[in-house]
Amino acid sequence: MSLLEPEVLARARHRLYGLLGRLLVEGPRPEALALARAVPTLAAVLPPPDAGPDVLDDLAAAHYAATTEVSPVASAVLGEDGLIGGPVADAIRAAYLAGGFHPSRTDVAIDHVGLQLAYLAHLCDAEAQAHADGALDAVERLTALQQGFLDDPLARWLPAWVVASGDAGGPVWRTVAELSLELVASHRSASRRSASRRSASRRSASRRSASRRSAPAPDAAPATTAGPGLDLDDPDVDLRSIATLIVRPARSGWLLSRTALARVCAAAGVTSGLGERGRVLAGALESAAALGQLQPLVEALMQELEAWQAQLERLGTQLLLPTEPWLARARQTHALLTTVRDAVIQVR
Amino acid sequence: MSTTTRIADALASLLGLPPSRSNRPAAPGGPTNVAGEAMPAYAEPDAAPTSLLEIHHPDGRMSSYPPPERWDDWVEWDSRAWPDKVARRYTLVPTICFNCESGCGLLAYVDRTTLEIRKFEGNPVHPGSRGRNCAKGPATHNQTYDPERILHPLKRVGARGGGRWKRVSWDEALDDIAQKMRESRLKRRDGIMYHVGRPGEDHYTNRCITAWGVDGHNSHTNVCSAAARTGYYLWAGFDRPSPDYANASTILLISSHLETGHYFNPHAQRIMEGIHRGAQLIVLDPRLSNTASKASVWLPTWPGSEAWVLLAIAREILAQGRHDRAFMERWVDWRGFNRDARRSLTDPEVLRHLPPEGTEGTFEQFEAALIALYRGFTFEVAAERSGVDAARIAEAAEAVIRGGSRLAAHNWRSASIGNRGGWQIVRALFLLNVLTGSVGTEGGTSGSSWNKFVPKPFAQPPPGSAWNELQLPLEWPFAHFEMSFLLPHLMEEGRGNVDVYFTRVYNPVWTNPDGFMWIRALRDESKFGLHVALTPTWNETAAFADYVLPMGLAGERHDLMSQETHAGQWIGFRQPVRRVAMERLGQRVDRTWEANPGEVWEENELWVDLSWRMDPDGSLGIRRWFESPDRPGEPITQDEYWGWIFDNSVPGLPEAARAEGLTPLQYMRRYGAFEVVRTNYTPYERPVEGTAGDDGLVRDPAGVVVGLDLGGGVLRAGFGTPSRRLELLSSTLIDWGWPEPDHTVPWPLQSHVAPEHIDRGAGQMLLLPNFRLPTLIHTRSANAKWLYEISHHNPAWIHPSDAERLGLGDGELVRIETEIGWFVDKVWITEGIKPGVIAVSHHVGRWRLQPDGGGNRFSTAHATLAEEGTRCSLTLHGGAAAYQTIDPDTSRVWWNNVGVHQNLTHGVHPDPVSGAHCWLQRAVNVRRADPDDRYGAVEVDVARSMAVYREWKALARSAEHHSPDGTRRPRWLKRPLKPTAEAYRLPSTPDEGTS
Ligand code: SF4
Repeated sequence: MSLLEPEVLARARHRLYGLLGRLLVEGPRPEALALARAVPTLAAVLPPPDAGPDVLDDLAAAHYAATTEVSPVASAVLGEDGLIGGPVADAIRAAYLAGGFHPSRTDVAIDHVGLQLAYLAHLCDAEAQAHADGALDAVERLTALQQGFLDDPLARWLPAWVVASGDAGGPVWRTVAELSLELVASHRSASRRSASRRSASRRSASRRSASRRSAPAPDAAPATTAGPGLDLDDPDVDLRSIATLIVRPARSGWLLSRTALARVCAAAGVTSGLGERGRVLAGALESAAALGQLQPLVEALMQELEAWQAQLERLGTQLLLPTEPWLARARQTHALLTTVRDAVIQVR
Repeated sequence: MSTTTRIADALASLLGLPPSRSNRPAAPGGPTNVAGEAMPAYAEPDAAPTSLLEIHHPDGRMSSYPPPERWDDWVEWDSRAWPDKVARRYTLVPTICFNCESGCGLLAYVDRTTLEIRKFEGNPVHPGSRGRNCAKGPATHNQTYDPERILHPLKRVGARGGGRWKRVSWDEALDDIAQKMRESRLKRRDGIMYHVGRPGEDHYTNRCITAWGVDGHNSHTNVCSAAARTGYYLWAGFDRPSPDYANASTILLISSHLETGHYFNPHAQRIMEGIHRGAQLIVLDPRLSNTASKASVWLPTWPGSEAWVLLAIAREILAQGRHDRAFMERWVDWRGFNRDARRSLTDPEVLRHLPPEGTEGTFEQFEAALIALYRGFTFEVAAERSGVDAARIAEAAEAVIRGGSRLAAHNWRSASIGNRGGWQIVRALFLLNVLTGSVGTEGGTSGSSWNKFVPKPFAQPPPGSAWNELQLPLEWPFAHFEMSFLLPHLMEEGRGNVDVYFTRVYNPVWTNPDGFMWIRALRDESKFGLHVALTPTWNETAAFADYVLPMGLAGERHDLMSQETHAGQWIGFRQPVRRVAMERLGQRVDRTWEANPGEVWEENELWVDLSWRMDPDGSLGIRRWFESPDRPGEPITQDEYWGWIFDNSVPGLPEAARAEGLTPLQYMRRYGAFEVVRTNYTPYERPVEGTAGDDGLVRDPAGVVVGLDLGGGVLRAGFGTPSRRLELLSSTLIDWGWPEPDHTVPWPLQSHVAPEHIDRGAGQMLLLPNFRLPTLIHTRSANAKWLYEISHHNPAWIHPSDAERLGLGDGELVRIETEIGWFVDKVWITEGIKPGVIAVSHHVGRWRLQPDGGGNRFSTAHATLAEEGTRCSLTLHGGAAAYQTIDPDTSRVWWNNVGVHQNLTHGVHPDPVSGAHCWLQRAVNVRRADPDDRYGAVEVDVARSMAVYREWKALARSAEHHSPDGTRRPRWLKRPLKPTAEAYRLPSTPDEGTS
């Protein structure tokens, strides 16, 4: 039995996706933890099996914090309005239906990262069975479904979420998130390789190949649909508009976590306030303006954004993920912040 | 290590493992899609919409509704697709609203394909609500799909109240809680306490508590209806009235029933029906409520003066000789009055009419004494006490006299629960029913128990033998019922603790007076060993729990309900609507949580599981009460439990079901309600079998009194009092140390907020804190977005003359000081409130301790609590705001102000007789807020809390010193769960009887 056998590989993926999805949705349940300890990368960060209840409590609280601080939901990251639900979630639901997946969990959004991994687990399981049955048509259909889902939405949003959530949940949940992304990336690369192999063999088998196009290159998949689109000369644009822009990842190219936001406020010496991120940031910008602290606040934002860009770029390169559209948006946001900063300096 | 190696290792590591449950994908399963997800897709329509049924009933029933025979497959246009006509297919499943005590019927529209609940409307075949609901009924949909509702068992991490939680499995939670219950039960019988906010069900949980063998039922009644219950019970042996509004000629209401009253929707629709038929409406309320605005006669009485007005009406009836002599001679215990009056009354003008001591005398002697007794209550005196024109009181008296035996009267909590001696206001009110002979008549006022039907379960555990002193302490032997709001104060005095404390849809930190005392007690693990909050949604008390267990809402649980909504009797069946829909569509569901969102359980299944684990081997004698009657040794299922009851305990139901080819359970699942009796007038006239003893009472073979001999061998059921008649003079009160005439007969007792106690010249005012908003319900509606959009803040109503005196403008901040602290609110200047009274509504002013959790952000304000010695404070940080969730509506929240939490500043006021918390407060100072004062700020000195508690406790008369027979409490008075006679015995040592 080896991972080189497609059936075995599919079965292994089924299990690993299942485990990671479950951990992300449910947190540290004993069954899942026992299983996770068999995975070397996770075992290295997990508490030992005989850890006391306090340690497990802390782990559960860290999971709660990680999944509430940065929303682990695709629509909140990719959606035009930064809200959960809407067209992004609808598309994911449609993908599940196409793959015969009916999530019974009702406590998390349909596009929660854990459910998306569970969907892949489901597809891999079906693929393994298809291999066992020798049903090659089914194998092809299932791998195409996997590839499609890995490209869109997973490769589009997961890197951003993994970078942002790195702040929130401590080493265990950071590792779970990173491992999930690595699995997605490696599966995606492998699946693209075999797709192009299949496509090449079809091309040689068919004279008609010259007139056919292969599937669009995944790197070309749009990551975001709108740029910042904020005209600073427009008299209606104020600090609140800037805050609103920044907290909509699809427009700003930046998923600003609460922890990062608190750091920004602390750097500028303004209170970070409470509540929803957009309001906090707007409040911070306004109080910084009132206190004459706008320049350090904007600079702190720029620094956070630069760190974000660097991390995202590194991930993209390392895992061959399509992060460039994000980075393009982030550069525009950075330019916008630079303009604001320069304007503040000029006024002073 | 490279990414490739890490992934290869990870994949390989899992290969060697045998397939197990844990290898399943995170979310496999069937076709469900509820709670928390974006709205579902719908199946393609394949049928045309069906027409509503149109029948014009002669009474107040609805005329247009989906005919029941089409409920299984109902098709209608999708409102969201408008203007396109898109048909949707539903299965309509009836259930019962859970948002107030009325028990109105709901009809859930469950999508046949996705099993989503599209909406809740009224159930047209429900005899109480007749297809109608108030705003809170349909808002059940908001609560079901609340994006922030609690969906999993949570266990606290770190200190209580620290706001850190982790998810645990139900198994883990149940094992831990059951183990602690077992440990407690092994060492004592008063260590487990179930504290219920609104039962919303009839009997299931009480049966469980009895089965556990503990004295552990604690309720909210003493902050609600205790005073009214005491008043009615002393008169007639029932504890609430049931007016027949629809058939009344005169309706007399104390407080605002039409909009917010007890049994709100069923009563309001019948009051309107009565008015449409020509009834006169009299309303006593210091506030121009919506009800008052509909009244023929509005009497804006000074709070606490109502008894003066009512007795002036009584005097007028007697003076005009318009009292119903025949009824009174037959049913008033005038013999007892003639016999015992000298033990209490001192007025020579009354005494001179009484027969010689030791003789029974005549009805005429009683009648003359009665006229003399109330002779001083002229309209002028009543006007002086109440601040209402004498002419208007006379007008009300005329309406009452005209109404005769069709006088439907009700006191909702307001005056009775507001004032010290509020129970006497109710006795004065019921005196009008007695004088007019309108007791139990058509259009008159019945007793609650005559119009409520509670079927018996298949086996009832025997009453317990314990008495929990923390629930019914000796000081208040007449309390109706448990002194729940004093729990932290009693604990502070070192009078006991609780091992396992359940709060069930109950939020004492916020709802009860003196919430800081609750917070301090709940934080103290030596007082509450384990606190389990059973709740569908976050609340201020759950923040201080050890476990928060998510419970089902109206469409997610089984319960039986019946209420005295009108002159008939009915039962309603609350049921998990998705479970029923799934079963209708051929799916098998074993446990309700399988059909509910997340891991939401229904309480009934929780109690079975918990009790089973508490007594795994049956050695405590608990488990057997939770075994199936058909499958010995197995836990009972919900189908078995309700199936048995409907087969055996509801007269007429098996026949009605058979006529439709259904089992009784199928009938109830289909219709959700059953009318047991159409009308039940004057049941006290029901003939009984047997022979009367020397005392004139008829007993059954077990020795239980079941009736009386009216003379000449006419044996009738009578009332639930010791004499089986209506007791104008309460010998029980005399016997138990309250012989004063202003207690023993209906009489005004001086309220703690009588004008004499409010020095208006010195800036004092009367704070009226207990009026309700019709669209909200205590703390349960906090997760209903539609309701909060309608009403979300509670400004201080103040009369223009008071505003001018205080120099306050509309919307300005005012600081209101009470006996124990102060709070800051905005003022609303209106002529709709009596001068001298400042009124702030109940229901709003909710807060949460976490910025992003622990309460819905459209209804609560983020707050911080602080303590410095005995000084405690609450500071609000903003209010509601738009925020992002899976529900797009949360990003459309336009309001910010969610009100102030005034109850924290209320000292506890236990009425010395009824034990009720007397809600009205003396505002010792009302003034413009200080420049630094922030809206919603609250400060309280808990040292003052205890001082106020002690002042009121000193007014009580303990059974220890006044019991005439060595018992703790008159045994004939009601208790939700009556223990054995032995448990009533006064303890000779403080601990006796509790272990
Ligand atoms: S009156 Fe009560 S039970 Fe009836 S619909 Fe309103 S909240 Fe529900």
